[in-house]
Amino acid sequence: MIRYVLEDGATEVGLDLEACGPDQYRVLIHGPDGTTRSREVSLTVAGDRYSLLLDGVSYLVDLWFRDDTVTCLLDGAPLEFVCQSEIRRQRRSLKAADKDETDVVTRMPGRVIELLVHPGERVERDQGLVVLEAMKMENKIVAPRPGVVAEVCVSPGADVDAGACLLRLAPSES
Amino acid sequence: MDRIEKVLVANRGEIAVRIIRALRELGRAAVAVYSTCDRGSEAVALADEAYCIGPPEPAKSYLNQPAILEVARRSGADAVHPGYGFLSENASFATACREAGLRFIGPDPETIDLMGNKLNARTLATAHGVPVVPGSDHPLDDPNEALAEARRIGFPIMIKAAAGGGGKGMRRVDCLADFSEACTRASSEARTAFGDGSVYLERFFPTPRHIEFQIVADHHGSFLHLFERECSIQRRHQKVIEETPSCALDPELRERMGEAALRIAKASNYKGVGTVEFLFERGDFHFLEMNTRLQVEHPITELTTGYDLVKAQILLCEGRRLEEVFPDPPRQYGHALECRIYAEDPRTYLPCPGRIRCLRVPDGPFVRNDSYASSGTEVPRHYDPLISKLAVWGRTRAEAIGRMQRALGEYVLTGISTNLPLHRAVLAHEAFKGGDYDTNFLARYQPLDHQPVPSGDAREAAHLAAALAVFRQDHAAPPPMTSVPTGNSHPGWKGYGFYERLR
Repeated sequence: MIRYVLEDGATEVGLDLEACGPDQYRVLIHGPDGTTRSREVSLTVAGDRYSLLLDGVSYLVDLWFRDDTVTCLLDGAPLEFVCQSEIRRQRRSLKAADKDETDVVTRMPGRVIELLVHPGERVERDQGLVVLEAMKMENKIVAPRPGVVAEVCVSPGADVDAGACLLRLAPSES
Repeated sequence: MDRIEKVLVANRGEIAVRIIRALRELGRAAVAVYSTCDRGSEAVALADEAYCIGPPEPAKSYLNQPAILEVARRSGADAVHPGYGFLSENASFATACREAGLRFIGPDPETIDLMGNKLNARTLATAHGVPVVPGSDHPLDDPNEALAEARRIGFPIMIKAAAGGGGKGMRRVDCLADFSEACTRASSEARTAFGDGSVYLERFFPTPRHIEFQIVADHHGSFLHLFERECSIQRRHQKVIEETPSCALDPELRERMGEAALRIAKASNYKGVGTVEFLFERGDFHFLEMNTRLQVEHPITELTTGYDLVKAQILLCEGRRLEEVFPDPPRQYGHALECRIYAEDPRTYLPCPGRIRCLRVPDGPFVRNDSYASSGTEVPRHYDPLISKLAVWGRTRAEAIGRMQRALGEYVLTGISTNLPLHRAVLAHEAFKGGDYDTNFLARYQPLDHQPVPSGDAREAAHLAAALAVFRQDHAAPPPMTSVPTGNSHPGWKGYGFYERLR
């Protein structure tokens, strides 16, 4: 069996999976309370649509991944959580351990209109950093936490994609 | 009367498709224009002819008048339909069309010019006895003068683009301290969107409803109105849900407002299809602005009156009389709702352009979906994030709401965020169901915060589906590519995830 880990808000669930027939899977669910349950799942997939049968009850889940973050549509309500194999997660956490700077990334693509801060400048939480134009609206990207601007990675007029790093914040020396 | 044979559609997205559909039904030819990022669009596929007019930036394509006029000449089009946005309310473009021997499907350039300047429009309304929102009566370019004017009118105040519309260049300011920065930002936005940075000020009404009247006019001096649309569910001053009839109007008020709308249409010598917008606060209505074009939300008027407004635009532009285009006196039958489905975060309203992975749209009785998108469509970041307009009709408001909830439940779109969850939350909200709402609805109720969270079993099913998705991709033979409808240039997450794991 292969172990997968789900981080859904504060809850962490472990799932051991194995295939046991066409469209059939056996699952051991390790709940956050330390209990373990076994379930059989019937699953068919069409595009992003996952149709599950759990003891005869039918569930429809539409889902897609961005990296390890999965977005599920359950009756239209989006649910976001992280899902990855245990091995992959361990490798990830090693990599992240020695990083203390925060990348300020944009969630939407757009054009940089104006930089509101300079490298070395101290900023407060929610302070405006960059004005970004997307779809004819100007939006202020704000600091996710207080800190010092370590590096500005874009210049005015630049087109940026979703997920692009705009600048990096170092912890403030207080 | 000169029949229009071939129409150039100077727009993109769902409205280009909507116009081409009307042309098809009338048996007229359609010429599409597109920017390089819209080559794969539905409008290009549906049109009889299509020509590239430039790169994605609007200024170089959908606002590029010489390129568009050149396509009209080359293709032998005899008319231009501007849709909404872009060049639809640009008097110089309407003039250029006229000078090139093309009919502009819209009012005369003089009317666009007059009503396009929101301050002139206010003056005209006042002169014809229609109440307006108290505010400044001339454009404010000088920051000091703007500040003085703001002091006079009093806070809270609205800053608006004199050349504007659609919420761009618009800001609410609550106190004097915030005024100057907001004014600069609004002016800059207005300059980007409309090429004119001048702004004006209006008193801010705390709990207004946005109610507009659809008017139609022929070229022979006859006018009609096709009743109201209520568009009070807004975010960022842009409409999200519209309905007709409005719960706020009784027959007497409806008649008075319709009559005021007609007075403004007549005073501006209007021709074709247009909309007069009002702010409605505690039983009083105030003229807001006139939109000299087809509205985004025109489908709900079509659903309740049975008239096709785009066909009407074309036929009226040919010079046909109102009695011919609208043979039965328009009446409101039943109730219609429209939800604008945007590619955006449902909470922050930030645009989320990108590639749609899978799209399944609702159908069934009395459901209409105006769209240009399908599985694999890229929603470009250069334009409005509107994906589709979902509209339903019901005999009563309650039936229409139930039907919209059913349709929203069937609507599935994966790959990018949409505001579908917001629509579901609004439709389920008691205040909306009761019809008692104003433009603050979303900010006041934050309807998404009161949505039930998926129960334990459903959540577990989602967890299992996600883990099994990763498991299948890690350990099973890859599924046939035909079952994953993503574009060729963009590998799905399966391919990407697999690649990631090999590194």
